[in-house]
Amino acid sequence: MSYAYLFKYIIIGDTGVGKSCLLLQFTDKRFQPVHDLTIGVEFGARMVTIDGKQIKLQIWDTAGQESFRSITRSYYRGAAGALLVYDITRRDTFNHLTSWLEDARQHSNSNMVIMLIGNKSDLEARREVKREEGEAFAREHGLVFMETSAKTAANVEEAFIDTAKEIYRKIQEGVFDINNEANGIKLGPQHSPSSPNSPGGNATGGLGGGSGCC
Amino acid sequence: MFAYSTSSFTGSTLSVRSFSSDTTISNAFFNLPQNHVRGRLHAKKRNSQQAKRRNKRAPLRTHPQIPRQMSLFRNFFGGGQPDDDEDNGAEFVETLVERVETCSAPEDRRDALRALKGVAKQYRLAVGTMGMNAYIDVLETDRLNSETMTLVLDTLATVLSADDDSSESDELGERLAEMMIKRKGFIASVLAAVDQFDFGVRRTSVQLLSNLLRHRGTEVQNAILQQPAGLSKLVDIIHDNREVIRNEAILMICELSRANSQIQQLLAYDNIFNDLLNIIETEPLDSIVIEDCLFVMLNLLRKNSMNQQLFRENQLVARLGGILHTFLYGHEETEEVDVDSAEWPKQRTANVIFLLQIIRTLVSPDNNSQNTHAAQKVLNQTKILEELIRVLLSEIGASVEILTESIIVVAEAIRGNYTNQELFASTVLDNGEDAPRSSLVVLLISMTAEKQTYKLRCAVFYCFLSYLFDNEFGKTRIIETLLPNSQNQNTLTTGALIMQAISSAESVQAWFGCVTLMHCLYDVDHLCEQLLRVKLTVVADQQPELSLLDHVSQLLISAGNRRPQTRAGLLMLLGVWLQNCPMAVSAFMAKEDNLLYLTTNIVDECGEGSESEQQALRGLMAFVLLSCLKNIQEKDVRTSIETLISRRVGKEVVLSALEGLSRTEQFVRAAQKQQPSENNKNNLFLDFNFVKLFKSLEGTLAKQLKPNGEFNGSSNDSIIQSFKELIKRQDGDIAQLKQENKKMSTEIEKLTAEAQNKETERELEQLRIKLEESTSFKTQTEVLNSQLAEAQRLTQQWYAEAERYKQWAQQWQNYQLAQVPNAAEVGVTQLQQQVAELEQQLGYGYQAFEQQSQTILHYTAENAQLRERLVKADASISELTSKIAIVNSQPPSNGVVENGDQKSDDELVKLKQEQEELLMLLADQHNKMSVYRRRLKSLGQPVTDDEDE
Repeated sequence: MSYAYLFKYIIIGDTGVGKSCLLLQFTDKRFQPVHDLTIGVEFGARMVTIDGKQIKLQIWDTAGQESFRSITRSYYRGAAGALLVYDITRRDTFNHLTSWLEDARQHSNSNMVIMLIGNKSDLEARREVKREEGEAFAREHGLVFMETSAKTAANVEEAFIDTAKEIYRKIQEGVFDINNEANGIKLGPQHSPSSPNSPGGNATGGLGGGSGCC
Repeated sequence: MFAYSTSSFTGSTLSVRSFSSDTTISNAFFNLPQNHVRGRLHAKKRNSQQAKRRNKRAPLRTHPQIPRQMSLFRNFFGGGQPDDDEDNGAEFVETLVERVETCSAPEDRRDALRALKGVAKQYRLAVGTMGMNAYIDVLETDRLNSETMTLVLDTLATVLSADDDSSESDELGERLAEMMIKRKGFIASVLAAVDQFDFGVRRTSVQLLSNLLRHRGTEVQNAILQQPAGLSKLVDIIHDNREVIRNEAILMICELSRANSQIQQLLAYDNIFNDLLNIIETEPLDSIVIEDCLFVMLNLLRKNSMNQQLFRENQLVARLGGILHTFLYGHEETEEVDVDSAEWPKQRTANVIFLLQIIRTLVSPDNNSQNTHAAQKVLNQTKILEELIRVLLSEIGASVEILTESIIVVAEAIRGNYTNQELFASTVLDNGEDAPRSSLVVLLISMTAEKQTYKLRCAVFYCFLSYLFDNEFGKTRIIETLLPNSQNQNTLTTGALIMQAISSAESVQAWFGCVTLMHCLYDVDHLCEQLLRVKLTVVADQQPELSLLDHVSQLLISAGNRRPQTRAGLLMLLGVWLQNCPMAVSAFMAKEDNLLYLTTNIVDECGEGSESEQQALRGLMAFVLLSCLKNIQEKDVRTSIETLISRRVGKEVVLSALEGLSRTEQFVRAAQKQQPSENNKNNLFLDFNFVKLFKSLEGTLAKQLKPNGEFNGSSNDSIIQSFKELIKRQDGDIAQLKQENKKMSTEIEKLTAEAQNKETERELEQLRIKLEESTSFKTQTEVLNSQLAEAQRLTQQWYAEAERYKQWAQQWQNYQLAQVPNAAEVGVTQLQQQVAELEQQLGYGYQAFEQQSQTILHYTAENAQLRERLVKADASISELTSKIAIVNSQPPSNGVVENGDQKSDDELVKLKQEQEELLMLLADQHNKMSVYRRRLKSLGQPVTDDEDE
């Protein structure tokens, strides 16, 4: 399938906040309740339409554990967008946002669009971080904010698509250098490579040529 | 520079030599860019592979050969004592390092560094170890000085590379690399250097990184990962438009991409696939750079499912297909003519093979099945599979290596994928001569062609098996071609070709045939029965018809104990055929010979083939025997056969033969890979799928003979059981050992405590003894001190006494002197006496002297007298001679004259006598004179020269 642009995203945040689940919900529209630790980095892809243009999102889901921090850091530079995720039922994941943000700002290109996601909004009863707090944090640091639920799929589409819209807007404004793939944006193939032409049928047979047996 | 260098190492020949090498190298260094450009152009013209590789990849690697030549030179002249040089190297290098470390003038430092670089190849250890601090210092503080940086980086890269290009382990390099990496911040410094734009710095730092990775891959990889954006920066160098650097960077990434999935993923994330494909598309088809790029891609994709996924996701497979097409048929617009040319350049062939290996990696059976299946689909969609199938069937000038590799790729691309299998089977070769042949027939024709290379035949065989894999429809269709009602009697069918292979006298071909047919039956029980219907008319005239089963068993029996490979194939075929097919078993048992063959040969110890092969064959026979036993329906027959087995062979023998199979190397080898061994045709003995079947059935088959007994074969349960037991036993052992250990350690503790106690006691004892000793010493010293004091007192007394005596002596002297009133006068007279004596002596001396001078005077006077006399005598002589002359001149006129003559003659005689006497006297006088003169001299009287005369 051809596309106009390819955007690279990364998903970052503490371990267990639901990064992989968000990705799975977005790409496969399903939810996996069992927490399976991400080792290193995994990726998924999906096509979305923005402003009538086909845009391919390539989403890199990183491991939240501290031990993988130096590896995941290497992924910041090549990304156009980042989803910074915390768990609304765990205050500590919210408290760690500052360090995540610092890290991201330090190692990414300055135009990277960062979306703050408060995940697990379906677990209202166990909420520890108020919606207003998330909003305040986002405002303070110039981020887009959204609360999502990877389980019920609430706002998941929007989170990814809004980020893509923001990147697209920046492209239109000429902020991004779209010719440099290191920014996490790639132009789609202008004309998809045509299938190679068939060779002439005057061959004498590669294997057939050796038919002089018995 | 010259003056400085020479003055600092005067005297040693070594230094002079090394110095000259230094200058040559530095010259080479300065000429570098032009050299390179020239080399590059040159390489393009030349076809020589090696030269191209060297020029394009690392144009500078040639220069350190200069010192090597010199060492040759030295060995030639120096009687071959390279060890001495090694020793000298350390000293020499030390001087240089000292200069680098101490010189304040940047030129001197640089020159020393250059000299170090010059000998880096020669004295790797010394240059690497001694100068390390200096290098690190330069890397950290001299970053902006690109010339110095280049020198240091080049030196470091040089000491890490072994002299020869052989890939054997280079322990020295490894140790040096380890040492470098251990330095804090070293990798960061190198990465910072890579980030500099300067040509030399970037090129040498990339080379250094390559060498470091070559020696200590894992550590360097981890160190790079620790640097934020470290890896992305390295990927960025691929975009450097200076080709040398770009190519070095690709080589470095070849090393970097090895065996670390995190690095591999990150490289893929940083779009390296795209970059590499871009490079491949711009390079000429026979460029070695393409091979390097493909090598990196292969590293990134092999067994890395996420990268494979990303590769497909980014639609790079299609691009790969485009590149493959270009490789196979050339650039359409430019190289159309070349398509028919006979031979490709070697590098082009190598590149294609790498490309094919990448495609193969995507569909390898080693991947997880999901990935492989997706890739197979993509290969179909992108028409790559179609293209490859065409390669198999058409002549494109590709070498047999490419053909072989393509067949293997096709094999893995269709394996287990029905759509692709069908696409493959439906492709037809129409060469315009006979009826069109299906690709399957073409494959089998190649398999049975003895003149084809073994590798190709093996690939073809693998491809055919891949076609059959999980393809019941395909299997059925092949069996159908053998059935009597099959239509195409005249055309060559797959079935007929398989039959032909089975009956072949060529061992490996027969094996191929058997295993192929075996795969047709594998997992499809109804085909086993179908196959029983097959009748052969091979020996048309003798017998009306022969069933295939009989034919197969006859082949087996006629092979006797020879042809182990063929027999292995036949036995495996029988084993699968008889497995779940009672009809086949009955037919097989109906012939007495079959059972007889099995029961006799299972105990045969002296058949053809290696010991292991014979063991495998016995196992196969046991397998067939027990399979028969298992599938016999009638109870009577079953018991009779059972007794037959136990009577003729013995149950234990059969069981041990069965168990023995899984222990043979043939079994182990076959179990490893789906693809049959392509190295040696004699290695083909057992088949991967048969081994799988055997493993699943071994337990059941064995139980028939010992229903109650435990079975120790290779079946998983029993293995697990045995392992469990082993573990249990080991657990027990461990527990016991732990306990013992505990006991021991407490005991040891106790003992050590005791020992410590003892020790302290002993120490205490010693101390006590020492204390005693010291106290005794103390008393002793006290005693001695008192003695000393006593002695001192005594000496003082003595001193006093001595003083007293002295006083007394003084008094006594004074008294004595007082007794002698004119003591002084006595002394004076004594002295006066002496004086008089001496004066007397002096007088005598004078007298003697005077006497002598008188005698001398006397002699002088005498001498004068004698001289006077001499003068007189001389005068008289001359007078006489004149007289004689007168006399002689007067004519003898008269007698008187005669008489006178007579008289004068007498007178003459007399005179002569007189004269002689006088001369004698004179001489005597002279002697005397000289004697006197000597005496005068000795007496100190001056003797004038006159007198001397």
